[in-house]
Amino acid sequence: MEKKPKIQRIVFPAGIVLFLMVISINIYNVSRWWEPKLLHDVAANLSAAGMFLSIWLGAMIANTIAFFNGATFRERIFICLITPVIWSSKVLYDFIGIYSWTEFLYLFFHAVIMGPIFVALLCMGISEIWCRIIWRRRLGDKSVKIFQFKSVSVLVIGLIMTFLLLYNGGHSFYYLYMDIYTKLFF
Amino acid sequence: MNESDEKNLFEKNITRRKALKIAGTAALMGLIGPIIPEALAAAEKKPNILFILTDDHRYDAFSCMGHPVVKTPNLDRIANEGANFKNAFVTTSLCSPSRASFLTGQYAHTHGVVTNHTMWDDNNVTFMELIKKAGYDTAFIGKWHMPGDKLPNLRGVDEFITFTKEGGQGVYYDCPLIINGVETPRPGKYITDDLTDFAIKFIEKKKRNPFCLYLSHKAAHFGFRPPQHMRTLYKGQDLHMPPESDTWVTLTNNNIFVGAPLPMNNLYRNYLRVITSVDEQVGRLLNTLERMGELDDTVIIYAGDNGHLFGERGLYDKRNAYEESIRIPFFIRYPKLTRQAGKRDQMILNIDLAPTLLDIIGARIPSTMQGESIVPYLKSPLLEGRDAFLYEHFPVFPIPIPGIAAVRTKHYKYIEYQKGTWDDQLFDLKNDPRELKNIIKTDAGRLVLPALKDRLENLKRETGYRFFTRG
Repeated sequence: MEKKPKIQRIVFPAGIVLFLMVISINIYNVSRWWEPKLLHDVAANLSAAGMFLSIWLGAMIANTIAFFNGATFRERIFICLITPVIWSSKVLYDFIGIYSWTEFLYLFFHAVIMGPIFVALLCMGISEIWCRIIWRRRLGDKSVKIFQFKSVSVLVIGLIMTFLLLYNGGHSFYYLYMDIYTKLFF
Repeated sequence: MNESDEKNLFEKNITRRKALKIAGTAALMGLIGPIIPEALAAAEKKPNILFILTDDHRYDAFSCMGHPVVKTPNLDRIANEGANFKNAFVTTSLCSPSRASFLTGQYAHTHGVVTNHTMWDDNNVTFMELIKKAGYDTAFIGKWHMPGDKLPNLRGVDEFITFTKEGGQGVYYDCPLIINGVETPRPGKYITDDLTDFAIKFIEKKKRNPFCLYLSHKAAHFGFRPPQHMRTLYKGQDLHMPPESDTWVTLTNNNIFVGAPLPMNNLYRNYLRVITSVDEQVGRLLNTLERMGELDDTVIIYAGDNGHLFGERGLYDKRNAYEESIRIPFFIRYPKLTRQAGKRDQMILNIDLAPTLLDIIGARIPSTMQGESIVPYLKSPLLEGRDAFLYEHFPVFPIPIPGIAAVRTKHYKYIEYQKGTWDDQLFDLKNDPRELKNIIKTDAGRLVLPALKDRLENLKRETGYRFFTRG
């Protein structure tokens, strides 16, 4: 795979998803007061879709672009995680001053914070597989492995963690999280 | 019986002295009659008490409050035949603190249950305990939902039926109950119906004493699962959501931390269904009392533990100091005391319940109770009432809402946030009832702010306020 310049293989794929997220969040929040209601509804639905696509599924888009622009595996992980990490940071920022620093650190383990990161890994793993399928077909080279160890590891970690976080509608993890919180802080 | 005995007073031959004595006594009785305390008048037969508390039931989610969709004929009956306090509020808009406030007549910072994680203290004195001492048969049926390693030792409660599933929140279907200490599976039962069955059984039990029943529903808390026969109720109807609301509110911004990741319309439709199911069960209770001839001898109170936002300002849930969050329904039906049925304007609080009930039955109100009896407002709808109250909220991990201390007057609301978190807010409730314009930095705001700040500080001082950093 030809290794393109950093701008193309890192900044562009990460930037496209990040841009989508920033634009969507802002449109969503501003459009709340738009009239008529129909305009608000259309804007809210489109921007919500944009948020969902960028925050939760952005890794599929970013990883695919980065893969074919020759980004290394490490670079691809960085690209996939940048949007969820920035979103989580924005969310965590809203907690500053409310709780103690130790409680703030414990928030990093909250499903809402960990969720986008592990879902991003899951999406990256899926993207890795289809990228390799396409690449293998393009090259016509059967020695190209579809299930590479690193890619599958990312997929499995993402899948297991997403399952654990969402199991029983997320209730089981939440109550475990809160039980541990009570034991640690009370 | 001789002949003279059969004559009535006017036929009897009486002396002038006797006649004057009788007339004097009659005049004296006429004079003091109207000022005999209710307690004395009620000494012969104390009324039964039925307190129905629901969860997250908004003040406006009733047909009688003009809601365009939900149907609540039985709750409307309580409101219309009794006093409907349309300015009723909670001092903390969160389940556990508010419930403890109803029971103790105290602010959260006094009874100590400041969040859903802080423990109930068994030393707290509840109105149930005092009512028991006044000779009542008592029962607590339903949601307790206050933290603790075990259920509390509720002094003065004869029957205690509750649930601990899902951290005390319970579930709508098949919710195991703890019936007087014994965990009992309830397969096939819908919780609102099941609790009402127990309530009716308690009411119907033959008793020598009057009863005090505290019926506390899981409904209409999140989960919003209606009974089977109401699953399609309100289907396809326009829900008249607030203009700034949309389908994704629960999933966006920080609302996701509340944990209700479902489309807003679905949630709200089921919320209304669950409310109608509560109404249906309240109807059963009213019918039971009516059939027993006890309806007018029972003080019936219906209240919610806090309000709820469904998309107003893009928010979901409660806790904050906005009207949708802190306003609750509060209806009292007791024809023997209510001079004129209908709406009341006075600002009343959840902490007023306990002193009010004690006042109605003529028991002493302990000085530790911070609420005040609203009996005067039942009798005189035009009385002025309190002019301001303190609202408080303490941080509840892991929800990104800071600590709040606010003062709400009839005209303004000033909200002070935990230092270094959010910008303080000031709303002109008369001109901006939806609280959309923060006027704190406007000329109009600067004019009233100092007085409101003073008022808040005074209320804090008067109630012994202190801030709890952890919950």
